[in-house]
Amino acid sequence: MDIVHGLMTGLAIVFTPVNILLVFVGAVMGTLVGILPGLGVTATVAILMPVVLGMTPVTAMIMLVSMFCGARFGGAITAIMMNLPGESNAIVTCLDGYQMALQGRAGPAIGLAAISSFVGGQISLVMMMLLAPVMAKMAIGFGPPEFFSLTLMGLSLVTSLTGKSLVKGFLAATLGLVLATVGSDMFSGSLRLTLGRIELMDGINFVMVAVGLFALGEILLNVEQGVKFSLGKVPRGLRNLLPTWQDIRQCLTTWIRSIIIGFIVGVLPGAGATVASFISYAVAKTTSKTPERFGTGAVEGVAAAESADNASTSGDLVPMLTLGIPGSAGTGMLMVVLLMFGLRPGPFLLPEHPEIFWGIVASMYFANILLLIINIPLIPVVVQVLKVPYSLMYIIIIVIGSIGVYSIDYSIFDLRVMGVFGIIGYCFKKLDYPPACLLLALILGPMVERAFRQSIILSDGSLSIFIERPVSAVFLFFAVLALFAPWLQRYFLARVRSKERIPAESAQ
Amino acid sequence: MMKKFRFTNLFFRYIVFLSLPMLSAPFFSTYALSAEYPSRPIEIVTHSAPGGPNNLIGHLIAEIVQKEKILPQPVFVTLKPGSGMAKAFSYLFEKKGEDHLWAITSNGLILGTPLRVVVPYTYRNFTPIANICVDGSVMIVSAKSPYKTMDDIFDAAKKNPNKLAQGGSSITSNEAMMGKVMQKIKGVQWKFVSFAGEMEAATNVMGGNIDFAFLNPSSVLEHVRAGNLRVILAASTKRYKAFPDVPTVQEAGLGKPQISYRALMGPPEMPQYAVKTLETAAKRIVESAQFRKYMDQSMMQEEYMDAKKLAAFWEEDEKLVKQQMIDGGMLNKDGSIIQK
Repeated sequence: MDIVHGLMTGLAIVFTPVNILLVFVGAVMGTLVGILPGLGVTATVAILMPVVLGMTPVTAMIMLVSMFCGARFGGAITAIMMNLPGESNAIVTCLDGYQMALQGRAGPAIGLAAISSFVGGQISLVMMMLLAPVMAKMAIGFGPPEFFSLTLMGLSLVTSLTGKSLVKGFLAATLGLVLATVGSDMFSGSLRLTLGRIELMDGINFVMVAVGLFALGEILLNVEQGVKFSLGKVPRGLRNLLPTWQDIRQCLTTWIRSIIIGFIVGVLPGAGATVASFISYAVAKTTSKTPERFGTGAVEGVAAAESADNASTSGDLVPMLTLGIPGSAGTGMLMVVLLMFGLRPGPFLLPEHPEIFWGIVASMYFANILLLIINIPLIPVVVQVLKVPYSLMYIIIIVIGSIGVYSIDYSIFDLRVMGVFGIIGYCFKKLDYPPACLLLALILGPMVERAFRQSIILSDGSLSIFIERPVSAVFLFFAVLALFAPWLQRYFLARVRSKERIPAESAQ
Repeated sequence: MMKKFRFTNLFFRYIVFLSLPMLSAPFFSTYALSAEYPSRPIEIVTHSAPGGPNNLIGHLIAEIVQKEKILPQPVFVTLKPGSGMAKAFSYLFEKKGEDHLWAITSNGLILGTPLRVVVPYTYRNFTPIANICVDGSVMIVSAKSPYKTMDDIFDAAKKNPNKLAQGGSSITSNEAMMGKVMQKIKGVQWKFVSFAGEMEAATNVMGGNIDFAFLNPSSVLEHVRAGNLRVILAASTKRYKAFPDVPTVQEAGLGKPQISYRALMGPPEMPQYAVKTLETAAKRIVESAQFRKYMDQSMMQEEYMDAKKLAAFWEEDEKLVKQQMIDGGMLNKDGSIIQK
């Protein structure tokens, strides 16, 4: 009953003219922010800080969380239309979304991304309301060994992201791991693989790698193959621009799995939306009956990435609101805003300031609905972008990508790095190496390393710490399972298919 | 087909033509700068994780500058967390001569880190602007922990050398050093585990993965109130009002507390006009009512030093930090870096 009462209070707060307007402004602004890679929510909140601090705490939170929801979706648009991940978590959306666009299904892909975001956001909010206290306890119990096993599991999912050749996948992942070690080492403060460049002391930000590998690599390949006048076909008729019932039915189980994964990964401090979407994608692929469709425009691929991504947003808020521990840079920014208002996120926020918690929950519900209402009718407009001649389109892609990468650190060096990865991305495409494997390793590498070294210090060098702790052992088991997932899957599928064939034959 | 292509070509030329003035803008603006400073928003670099104390002060400064109209241009905050302050330092270091950029630093990091590891800079490379405040830390244990006083910890550490684990941000932080000095004084040993941020260390104390950590008093206040954490030592000049029964480092006979002197500094070779303007701005910020209120609320104290005084303080303090590092076994006896 508490929840119903709380939610009602929250809705009462949100449904005032000013707050409704701010949810709208936040959601639209978030979508725009999401489209530009590099310019993330964190930077935007920082820029908006003076404006935000002039509002009341609840109103400020309402606008900011709406922006969060918008940004999560906005990243998908450029990912699908241009193979340009607007937000880091949209990298996974590129894998199947762009392929769908090339097949003339950009409309359904965006529609599906919007619906997946909506479903992921709404269901994970219910989970957040019901499970926040329990999940907060879980976050505390999650120490370095558990974190290591979880991230290792994520890393072993590389086997599911490889294309035809496993060796090429591993080589790409190894390169990613090597790139992940670049920068200053936190445990000793010493520098690794920086080639004497101060710019590399910060490590290699994966946004520039993603933009280079995906967007620039694709452009180079297209330029080599001769300038086409348009990228994809834009089918006529509204029906061809929206996802079909068939698509949605195909995604149902993927949604459920991805939302659970996304929410849990979101709750854990340190692992964010990007990790969540990668894991969900790999799980969707390994549990699919037709894994070979993934990477060639599978609707479930887009659904997994986008729903996990939004589910992790709600998950991310749990430790911040209940423990005062921000799980990602984005929620960290929200916490900063709360602290500047003199509110202390932590065990007393919910009992002492229920209006903040319920205001956030209610505004997220509302923002998700609003985003769906705004974005679905916009799909026919957005897909017209595909009619732009490619000779202009690639300039637009390069400009958007460059602005995004430059806005991370305001450094020209980053643009050069992006260029280098563009060439690497081109070579990858030519030689059929999977760029997603490199990115997964680059993102997870530092997390795995940090958690491993923390655990090893705690256990005095003994590896048994990873097995002795039950949660860690379970994740390790899954890690091994994930490593061999493609073979296990092939084995089971072969059995299922042969079983299906036998009755079919006997019926004949 | 041909016609279409020519249209594109023309269109492209038109775009290039239009973008020329935009591309050349940065070159012109460098000349305009010194005339009226600041001519564009000023970036303030903070090194702690989002929501960490250093980051919060950044936002506070940005807000005060805006509200009290201290500078004609707004201040915006950027985050460069991790690796002690190495990331923020390297960022600042590469922006040589930049005048619309400052960073919040603390003495332990700016002085200590370059002593201990090979980095291309020392505090002398950067431009001191002003010191704004000082803050200490408190040692926390989990509420379920058997350790009620520092003596319990020392006893346990004596019985099981290298078994207890202290958590903290970077190995070169004030907190890590304070731990080293204590181990030296009491002749015991424990481990140190680096975490990405203060709050991550706090979570791991609550979760029982590590035994204790020095943390900012304001970030643990709520958890102490909720009965998740217990404070057993105050690393400050005097006892905290919020924790009146907790002894200070000096009272416990554990040497001098490592206190953070939070200061503003600019990149290498920052122009003098910028230093002067920002120094005056810093003074007005420190004197504002909002800053004082925040200091109380977050358990810090305002402490203004101008650029000259700050430079002298750093020079003096570096000797002290060096000695403590030698005592703590983090440097060779002659002050050189220990090669592993």
